[in-house]
Amino acid sequence: MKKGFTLVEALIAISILIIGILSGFILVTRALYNVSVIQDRLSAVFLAQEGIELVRNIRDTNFIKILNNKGTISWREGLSDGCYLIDTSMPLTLKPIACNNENDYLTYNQDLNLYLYNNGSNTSFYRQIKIETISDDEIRVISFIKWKTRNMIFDLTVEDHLYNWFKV
Amino acid sequence: MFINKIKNRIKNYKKGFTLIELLIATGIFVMVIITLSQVYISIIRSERVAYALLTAENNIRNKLELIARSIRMGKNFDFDKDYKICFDYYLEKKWRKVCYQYNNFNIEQFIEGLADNFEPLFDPNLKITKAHFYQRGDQINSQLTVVVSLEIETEIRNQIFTFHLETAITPRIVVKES
Repeated sequence: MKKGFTLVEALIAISILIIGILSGFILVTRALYNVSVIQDRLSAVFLAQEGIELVRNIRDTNFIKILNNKGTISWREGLSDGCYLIDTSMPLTLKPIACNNENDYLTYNQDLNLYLYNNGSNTSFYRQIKIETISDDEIRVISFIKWKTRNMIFDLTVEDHLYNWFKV
Repeated sequence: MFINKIKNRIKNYKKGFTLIELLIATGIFVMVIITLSQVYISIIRSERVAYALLTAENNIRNKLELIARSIRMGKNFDFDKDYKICFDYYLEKKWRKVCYQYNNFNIEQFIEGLADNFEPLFDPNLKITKAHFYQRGDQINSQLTVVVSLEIETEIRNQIFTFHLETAITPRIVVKES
């Protein structure tokens, strides 16, 4: 038995072995990584939905005010074009911000279990509401949410259209 | 004879493996197998964790969406502090009283005429540690919005995962019925 393996043969064999083991390890770390992503994504989806529903509340409140004849207000009172922040504290109002401002992160209040602004511990969730005019009786509401999980930035956009169906 | 031929052929092969060669080869083989099986076991473990968490996530999403949908289509809302909400919901040909309440680490559902008692809604593997139904708006001067916030824990392989969920639902009906 004079012949052993050549260097090339040995290298190929070792590299195949390493690729096999390494891909297993990568699979493990990816799986565990995605597990933590799931949690934040679920919260983000519901927070994005919340943004749309709060804007809807403002429009519906305008309808109620029109019906109660409390002054002559537009159905779009407080819903002009622009970028805003909103949380669930009363009264529900949109706070205007610059569209490129992405610094006002939601905080989480442990006692109330609510995501609010400047009230509680810091989170990585940033939510922006954008309103655009489509016609006199239609607006587009975009709820954009951005968050960070393990140093990776994710984002999500939800869009809804609100109409002046209450036209009187 | 044929058998003698084979015997001769075997005698010609004098060289086999030495004991040391064999031991080294076996040792390397065992080491590789152990390493690989460790990797395999940890893959299986994390796959189980991922799958359990996915199941939990599915259940939470499904049930919270169920609550949200019924609130969205409901009317005549009634809040009991922050942990119970009752309203009318059109189901099976009539308006029925539907209630959700936080009790016993779960959200319980009651549907008039369809379920006689409050029945737990979420998967029992999920422990709801906090739940609130907040009222926003008074239905008279402003539109009502229900803010649902849940803190849910689930234990998977001695590891506790916590979900902080919050969503708001504005019922589609605008004016309160008198």
